[in-house]
Amino acid sequence: MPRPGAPALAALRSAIDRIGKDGSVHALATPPARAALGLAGLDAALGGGLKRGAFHALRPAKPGEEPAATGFALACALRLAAERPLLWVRQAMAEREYGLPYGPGLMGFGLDPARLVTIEAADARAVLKAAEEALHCKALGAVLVEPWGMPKAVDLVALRRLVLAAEASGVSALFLRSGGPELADPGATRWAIAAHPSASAFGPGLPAFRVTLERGGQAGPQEWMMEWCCERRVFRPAPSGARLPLSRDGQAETVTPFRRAG
Amino acid sequence: MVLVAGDEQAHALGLMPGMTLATARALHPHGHVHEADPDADRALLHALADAAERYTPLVGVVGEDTLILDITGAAHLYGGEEGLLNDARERIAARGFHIRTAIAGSPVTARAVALYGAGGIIAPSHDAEAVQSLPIAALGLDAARRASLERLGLKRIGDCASRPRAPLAERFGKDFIEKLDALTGRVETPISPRRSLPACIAERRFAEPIGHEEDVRRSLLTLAADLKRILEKRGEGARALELAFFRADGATRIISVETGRPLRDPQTLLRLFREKLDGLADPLDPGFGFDAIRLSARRVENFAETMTSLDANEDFEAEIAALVDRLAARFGARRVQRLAAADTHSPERASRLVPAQSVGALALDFSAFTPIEEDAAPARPIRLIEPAERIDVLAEVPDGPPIRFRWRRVLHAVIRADGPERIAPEWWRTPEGTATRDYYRVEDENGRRFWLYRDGLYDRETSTPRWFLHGLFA
Repeated sequence: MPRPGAPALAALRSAIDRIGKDGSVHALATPPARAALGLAGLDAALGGGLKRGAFHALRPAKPGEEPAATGFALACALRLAAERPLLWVRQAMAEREYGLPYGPGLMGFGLDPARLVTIEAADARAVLKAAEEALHCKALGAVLVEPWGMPKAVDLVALRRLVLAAEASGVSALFLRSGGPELADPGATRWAIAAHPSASAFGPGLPAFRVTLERGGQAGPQEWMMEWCCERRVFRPAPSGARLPLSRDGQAETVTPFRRAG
Repeated sequence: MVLVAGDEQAHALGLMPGMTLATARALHPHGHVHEADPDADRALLHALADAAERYTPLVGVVGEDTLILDITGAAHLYGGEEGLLNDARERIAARGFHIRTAIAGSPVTARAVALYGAGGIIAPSHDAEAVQSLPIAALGLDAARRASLERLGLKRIGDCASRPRAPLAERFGKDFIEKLDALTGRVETPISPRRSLPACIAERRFAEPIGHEEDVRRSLLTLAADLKRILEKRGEGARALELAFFRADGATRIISVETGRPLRDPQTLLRLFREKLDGLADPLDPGFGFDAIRLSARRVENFAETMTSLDANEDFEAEIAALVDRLAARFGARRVQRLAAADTHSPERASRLVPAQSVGALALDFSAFTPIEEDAAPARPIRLIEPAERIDVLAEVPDGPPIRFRWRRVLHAVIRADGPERIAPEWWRTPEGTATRDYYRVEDENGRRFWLYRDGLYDRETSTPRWFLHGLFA
């Protein structure tokens, strides 16, 4: 359904977002050094937010959490990008597994596809090359890099090149990979991501994540539950309690609360 | 099996095309025979045509064995037509080919003189005389008409050209006269070029072939600067460009790039080519050096002069466009994509990945899906699995939401479900009998969110509805 007022509203909101606490308006051209994610505790642990112009490594906490990891990475990219365009480097293999970026869904998630350019790289080497080239482009807000599996091409030297490119240009790199052996990523932070049950009683609610900040936090590894407010494009703590009717043995009951729509 | 072609020795022994292999073997049992490969022959002819572009960008291929070059205004670079002809003969001969050449006022005459006559250069407006002594075969008629012409004693072009035309046309068809007119140069025949002509070109020829990277780089820079001047004069910028490297030994390499907006800045152009060259699987090999390089703008567009913008956003856009061009040059235009929206209810048609260079801003409008309420959950998944994957579903009632489903061998218990959202097929697009889909957003015991649909309305369209997984939510 077309909602004529919506884009104007979003533009207005982003303009308001650029007004700092002290009333100063920061230009699109110079975002602050850190992007607050929206959770007070987490932002404090990060020293004020996610660092811009840095390399952030993300991984799904376990197999099957890839969509959640992509969602969290996109949300972080939106926080980091401060209204600038995003580049999403995908690998051709990955979409056979998890599908193609979907415009209506991304819009509903808070990412306007008009701000998105994406590359479907043939292999991991191409993913890294494209990511590095993109990280040199100062006009971008963030680059989401998504190699498939854990190919040999992704080694410390290759990652280090991305770190340097991000630091030189101020463009943030979000490096999301699934599977493969652990690598001591050289980046500013490292995250493990899983889906978190949503808060709503009827039907799935806002995107929600259970996120472990494995490295880069000031107080050691910590776990955070949060949901992503798609409309305001900000994280907030996942509402605790009032979750699910759990049966006595701790298993979720098979009775399905659902709402009939339409 | 039949002989298709023979080398000089074979012809000397009387082995002619058309002869059966058995006959040839009987005559000369020790000859070498290779199977004909028309595709390879064609590829070879086109490689030669590429190499011939060093003389002119307008090269046509006729039949299986002829290249036609429009050398208007090109001969002076070789000290005249004779120089050009000699240069071409030498280059082709050096690669082990036999070649017959002719220069004439029309392509048809030149071809006939080369194939059926002595070749060489026909002086301007002497086409008609030059073909008089050629055999009738030069007209390229079918065998029946050729035979009946010969029976009448019309063996040479001159015999026909001097006859009254009306009876000839009546007897041998109108196209006979047309062919005759084309051959004698009475009617002008255009060359149909292999490829469309570039809008403008800049080229450099080197007396001493260049091979050093530094030399090549410098020449490319001058070429790009030349092209910029030409484009500026025309008020245009290039959308598609091509660099042709002509090696001294005749090998030719053509490299093309496309851009998302009209370009003329030399540095930007060269950067695109550099990306392309770096990404080549088979790198550019100068061999003993290039003796000519040509930069052509194959497609141009009006170039809007823009002033340096005060709006930071517009600068960003220009930078992003430049990045897209570079990535497209390196990884291929179709791999650098944007999402284009379509006004349709069909989920799989609502969003498409399209080459970023070719998409207009209007195509990117997904504003209909803007989240409107602070707590509203997204109605559509961030990733669409297309085609949707079949899943096994257990539902409490046939037209209710699923309780459990199995996708890729993993069982998911549905804890939350929202739906159905009924999406009817677009009857004007889908074949009859396509079922209505009931979509559900569901969440499993781990908090993972999926987009499922039941294909077909229970009882009305089907009694055993099938289920599919169509997308993944964050």
